[in-house]
Formats: sequence, C-alpha cells, structure tokens
Amino acid sequence: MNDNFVYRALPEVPTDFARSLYARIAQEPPAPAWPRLLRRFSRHPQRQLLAIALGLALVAACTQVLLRIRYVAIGDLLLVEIGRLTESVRAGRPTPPVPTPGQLPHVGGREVWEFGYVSVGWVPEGFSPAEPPSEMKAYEVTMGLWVNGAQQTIRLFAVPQAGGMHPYAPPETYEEARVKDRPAILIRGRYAPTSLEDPQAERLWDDSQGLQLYWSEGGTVFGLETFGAYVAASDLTRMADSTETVQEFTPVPRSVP
Amino acid sequence: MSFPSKTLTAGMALITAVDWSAAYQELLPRVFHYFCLRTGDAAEAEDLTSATFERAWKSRMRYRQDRGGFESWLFGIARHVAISHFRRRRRAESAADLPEHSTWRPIEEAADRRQQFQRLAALLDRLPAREREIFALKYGARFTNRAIASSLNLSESNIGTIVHRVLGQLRDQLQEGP
Repeated sequence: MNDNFVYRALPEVPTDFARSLYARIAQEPPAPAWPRLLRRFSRHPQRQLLAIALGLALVAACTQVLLRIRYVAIGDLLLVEIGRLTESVRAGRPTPPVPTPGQLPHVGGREVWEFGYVSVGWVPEGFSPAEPPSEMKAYEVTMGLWVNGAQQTIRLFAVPQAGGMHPYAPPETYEEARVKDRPAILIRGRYAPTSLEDPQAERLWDDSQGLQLYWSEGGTVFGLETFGAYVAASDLTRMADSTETVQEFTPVPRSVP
Repeated sequence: MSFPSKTLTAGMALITAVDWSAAYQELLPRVFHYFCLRTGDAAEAEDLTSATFERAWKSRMRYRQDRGGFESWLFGIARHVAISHFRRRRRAESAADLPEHSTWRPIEEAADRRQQFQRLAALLDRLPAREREIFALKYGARFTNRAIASSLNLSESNIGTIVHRVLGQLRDQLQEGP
C-alpha cells in the first residue's frame, strides 16, 4: 500500500533545533556507571555474595584501623590492645574514688562460678584480709580482698579462660610480667570517668588508676588489681607468685538462690 | 546537516561500537517524527526529542551493547518520555478541564507540508492509543513490523494488519478532504 503521503506530511527537523540540541547535549556529563555495575551484580548471586563478603571485610578492616584494635598474645593469654580512642586522663582531671569492700558490687545474677579455694601466702605490708563480697562482675568472681588502714584495697578475682574474656589496654600501658615463671600481663591504669557528677561522662584511660596483673592457671585467668598507686608492681607480682590452688577445680556454673 | 564527530564521540569511550554523531544524524529525524505522530504537534515533538536525546546522552554509560541495538535502546527511552509526557498532559488537562485532545495550533501562512501534517495529526487524534503508537513506530521511528511486534509483545502479522488498516483509513480520510 502506498504510504508516501505519510512521509510527505511529516515535518522536517528544524535545522536550528538539531544544531542547538547537539551543542547542548555535548556539554552534559554522563551519569555515573554505578547502576550498570549494580545491575551486573544483581544477575549473579555469587558475585553478590562476594561483594557482600568483601564489603564486610572492608568494614571490619576499617574498624580495626580506626580503633587500632589488635590482639597481643602473651603466653597463653590474649590482650586486646586498643588505640586512638583511649587518651590517658592526666593531672587536673577528676579521678574516681577508690572502692572499699562495701562498695564492690554484690551478686546480681543467678549463677556464680564455683572455684576451688586459692590461698595467698604473702600480701603487702599493712594489708589484711577482708570479707570479699559474693559478687559477679562480668563473669568475674572475687576470690579475695585485702584492705589497709586507708581503706585501699587489693582484689583477687578469677574468670574462666574459655569464656573469652580478655584484658584490654592501650599500647605502652601494659607489659609482660612473670608469675610462677610463666608469662603474665601487667597493666597500668584503667578506664575512668572524666566527671564524677555525670554518670554518662566519657571514660578515658587513666594511668594512675592502679595496676592489673593477669595470669592463667588450670583453665582460669586470675587477676590481682589495685585502684591507685599504693602497691608496687613487684609487690603485686610477689603476691601473685604466692597464690596456691588448694584443690583442683573446674569452673562449673552453680545456681544461687 | 552534519555534526562535528569529535565533540560527542570523545565521551563515548565505553560505547565503542556507537558513533554518536552518526547515530544522532540518523536517529534525530526518526525520533522527531515518532513524536510528531504521537503528539500531532511539532513544537511538542521538539521538546520530547530534546528530552530523549538529553536523557540518552546522560545515561550513555549505561547502554549495554550486548542487550540490543543502540536504536532500540534510544527508542526505549523515547517511549518512556512519551508515556511520561502523556501522563503529565492528562493530569494537566484534567486539572484545567481542557478538552480531551489537544488541537493543532492554527498557523498562519502554513506551508502545504504543514497543512498536510495538520490534517494527518487531526486524524491520528481519533485513533486508539495503541494503534497510534504502532503507526508512530512504523512511520516515525521507521521500525520494521517485526521490531514493533517485539517491542509491543504482539505478533508480527497482527502489527501488519493494524498498520495496513490504519494506513488505508488515513489515506481515505485524507482524500475525502476536511
């Protein structure tokens, strides 16, 4: 069928329109190619999974870099070394009060870990045993507490090694020590709030907030800690050396009424 | 009419098989005529042609050579532009309580060609939307019946029948005069 009449009726493209449109679009930048890439991924589930895995790995790596977290093996203990976000609290900043036996938290949970008895053969001069509260603090169990006349305390606690609890500290605040001729971790300081009035205040690392000494024995990580500069590191190590497990024990959960 | 090829081909590094300047030269009249037949208005057709080429140029990095020809890709954009345009126009007409079909603007000192197109456009206004789309693809975009069938999910013979019938009607009506 003759269709020339249609073509004859169609208007010609205005020349100025064609030229101006050409000039205009030549200056337009292209849209990014991301949608094309995403479409390509959407057709291949394996690629999607790979991309997600790579993304997660990247996020994890970035987190590690930003927080500068790394695990440091000392003997059979692992220390979590934390970095940039932990500046030390220096002089002039408020420091928390040293806890007394009565201020230590008491049992809040329904279970405690049943450990054997640990005897301590030597304590620094001026310290005498105090009644340790039956308390649970993030899986820790206080095994013993010693207090001096100034109400300064030394606490011995234990935590099952298999529980995955690791001591943590910024670089240069910890060192390898020896307890019973085995590697141990000595940490100087702890996190402390920057304001005593505000419970939500930022907590920063404070080197002056005592010592923490960790060592492992029989599947349990033991810790000795002080809350100020009233016990020397050598004395704390000596105290740890003098501990003795009186009976074999395995951490077993036990119900508490 | 020719266009400096360097201007546009410089940005087409990823679409190596497409010579944009040549494509522009070949496809501009077809896109323009497609819109002329769809809208019945040369000015509107210019606007929609601009929108089509601008959109195509901006998203040229997304053109996938392995998924069909550049021509199909460009007319896919053109059809989307047309659909959006008619949707907007329906909304505007509805809001302003305008007549259902826009009318061809009277042009003083109109050339024969324009008068013919005016009459053709008035007749096209009476066609159902689907037939008008097929007619525009056939005589504006210059698609083959097979290509139209493929893009509209109809059979090729169906397209041939519709085109034949519409063309016959239009010719008869044009011969009858206004």
